[in-house]
Amino acid sequence: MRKTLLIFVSLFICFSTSYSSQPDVRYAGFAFTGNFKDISTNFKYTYSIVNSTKDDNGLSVFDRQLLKFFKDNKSSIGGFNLLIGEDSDTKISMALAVTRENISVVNIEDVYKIVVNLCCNVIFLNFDGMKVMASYPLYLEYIDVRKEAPTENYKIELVKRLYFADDFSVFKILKDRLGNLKLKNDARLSLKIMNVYLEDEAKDKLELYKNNLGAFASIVAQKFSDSLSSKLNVSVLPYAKDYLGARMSLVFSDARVQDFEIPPASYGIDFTLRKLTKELYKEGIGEDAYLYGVYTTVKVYDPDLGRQYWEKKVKYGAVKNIPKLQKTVDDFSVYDEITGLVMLEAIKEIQNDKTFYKEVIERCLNR
Amino acid sequence: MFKQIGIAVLGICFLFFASVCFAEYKKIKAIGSVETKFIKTATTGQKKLALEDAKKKALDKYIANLDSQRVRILNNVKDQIYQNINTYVPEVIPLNDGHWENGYWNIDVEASINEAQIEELVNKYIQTNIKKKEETYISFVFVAREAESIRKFEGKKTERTVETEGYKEKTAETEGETAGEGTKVYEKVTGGSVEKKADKIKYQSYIPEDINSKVSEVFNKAEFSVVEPFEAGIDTKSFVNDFVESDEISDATKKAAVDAAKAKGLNYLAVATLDVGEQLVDQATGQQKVYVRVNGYIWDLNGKFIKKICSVGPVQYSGLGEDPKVAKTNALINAGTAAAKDLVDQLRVKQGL
Repeated sequence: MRKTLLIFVSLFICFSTSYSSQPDVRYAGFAFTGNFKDISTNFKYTYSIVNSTKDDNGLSVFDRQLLKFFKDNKSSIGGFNLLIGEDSDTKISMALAVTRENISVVNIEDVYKIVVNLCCNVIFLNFDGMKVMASYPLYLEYIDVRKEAPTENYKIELVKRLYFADDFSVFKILKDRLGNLKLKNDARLSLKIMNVYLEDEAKDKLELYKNNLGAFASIVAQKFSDSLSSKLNVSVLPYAKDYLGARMSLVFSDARVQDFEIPPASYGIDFTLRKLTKELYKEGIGEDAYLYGVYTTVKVYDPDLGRQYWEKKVKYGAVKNIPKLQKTVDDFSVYDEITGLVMLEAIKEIQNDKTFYKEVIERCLNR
Repeated sequence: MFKQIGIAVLGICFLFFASVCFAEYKKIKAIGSVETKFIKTATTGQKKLALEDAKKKALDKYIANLDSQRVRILNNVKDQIYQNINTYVPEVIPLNDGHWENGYWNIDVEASINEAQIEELVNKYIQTNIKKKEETYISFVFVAREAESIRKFEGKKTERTVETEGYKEKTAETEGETAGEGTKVYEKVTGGSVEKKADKIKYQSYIPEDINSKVSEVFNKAEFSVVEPFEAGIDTKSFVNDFVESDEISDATKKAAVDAAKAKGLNYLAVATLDVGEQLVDQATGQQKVYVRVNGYIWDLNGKFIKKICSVGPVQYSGLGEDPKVAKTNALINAGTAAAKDLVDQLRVKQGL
């Protein structure tokens, strides 16, 4: 009887240890998303950094820094067991993939304004079935003003800094999010930005992107995905419009190309940017106060069963003082800033709607 | 002692299931309903019934998207599937808390379909039904060809020029005064034609050994007994020679092969021609890409006359690889396997499975 009890207890300990142990995940490195032929144009600066920093082993600065980053921060990872260069039968891998790189330069009076958007995703991949298991969007926006026009070398160095710097970079965001990265379990549902609509009254104000509204829509989608993922701690799949036929091609830095299927989302989100406004709020002696406004509609629905769960018109306003002597005003940066802030307002509205939060958001929580 | 062994086995099973808990299922969304009449909430029992209904609807939705042969088989065993629904739909996750509408309480779910179990059921059904019949023998000849050399011809140009002797006179007038100006315009008419001659392509043909095992696997899985062509007395060399000279296999070769196979007691003979295209660079991956165009058919050797009972193509398949050789092999395997699967599916329908 004692022997039986002893065996049962020891097996129970073994079982509970095994059950609670984290799944093994192989480290897969850095990757670009999209068609192989478009990489040098879509990720001009990142691609240039990768190519110009390769060592004798063919490893770029991304490979080296990322490897060091994960080795240094392995203890912060709680949701899975990251294997770096270790043997394992696991079919699950994790990669850091850059999904969008955008640099805009605008000449305002005698200065140059630089806006950099870097969109990355930590992606968990199942090589058994070639599917995306989970993704964690990371978004970085950097705005700077300088007197000289930025040279190509300046831009390359800036992008490099925005990836690797200790204080403000993609790596810094990744470090802050590392503890929340978890591998999708089957009982968790997911959200996905399905559509970003830009209405005429908003389009008129997007001078910087007037010839490339699709790029702006993608940036908005990535920004909102990142906010949802970090503020609500929910599972968010990559923006659908960026990938044809729900397939994501990843080009790894050793030129391996793999095609993965993005699973269908449990819930879809439509983000409509209805209007961007600027009105004189208060006239002063030396400067005038302007009220900038952003009007949006956020809709959460089931794209397959056609059921709508939530729809809300959300707006946000901010007052900016502009000196009367200033000839040119950069309205776009204000619109860009308040578009990011209206997303946080929308998230607050989601949190405040207890019924909707319990019915939908709680089902998508990373836990 | 037996008790201890039993516990140990149970423990090992637990450990095994703990290690394979990351099994991937196909996700299908469905709405489960239960009648509650005028009561807008559902009891625990009614909720359970609605979830069971959702499982069945998800499974029906999944089956509806399968090929016609699988749909037919699964419809025959629908009751068996419903009785063991938890095996085929092991999990349902509610997408909401449920909604009442027109006397029904509905719940949206994301159901997990165990595709491996369903495929197992299909295979079992086929095995059971085929074993009732006699063993079915099939042989196949899959022959490939690719360009060995291409001789290009420049277009032959013929130019014709005719100069006219007459001239046209043009007069310009300005306001206020009249001025006469005569301009002589000589016309030169040119024409002709370009005669283009098609490129002369020299082919090399062969039996691609790389795909033979894959094609055999497809036929074997479908419970056919595969007989090698040499065993059936089929001369594969004549297929190879025909495919070098022409896009089709000659009637004489077909007749000889069919007669030989029939004499050996074979039930079916499958033939496919695979045309390998030029290698390209794939824009999406940067790898080498090769297309293969496939045409295939199966002859039924059972009756008095030989009948072509199923056919596939022309249809193209591609293969990717780091070098042209790997890309070509992959393209041949993809084309051969897909053609064999298509032919088998058609054959099963004809056999009445």
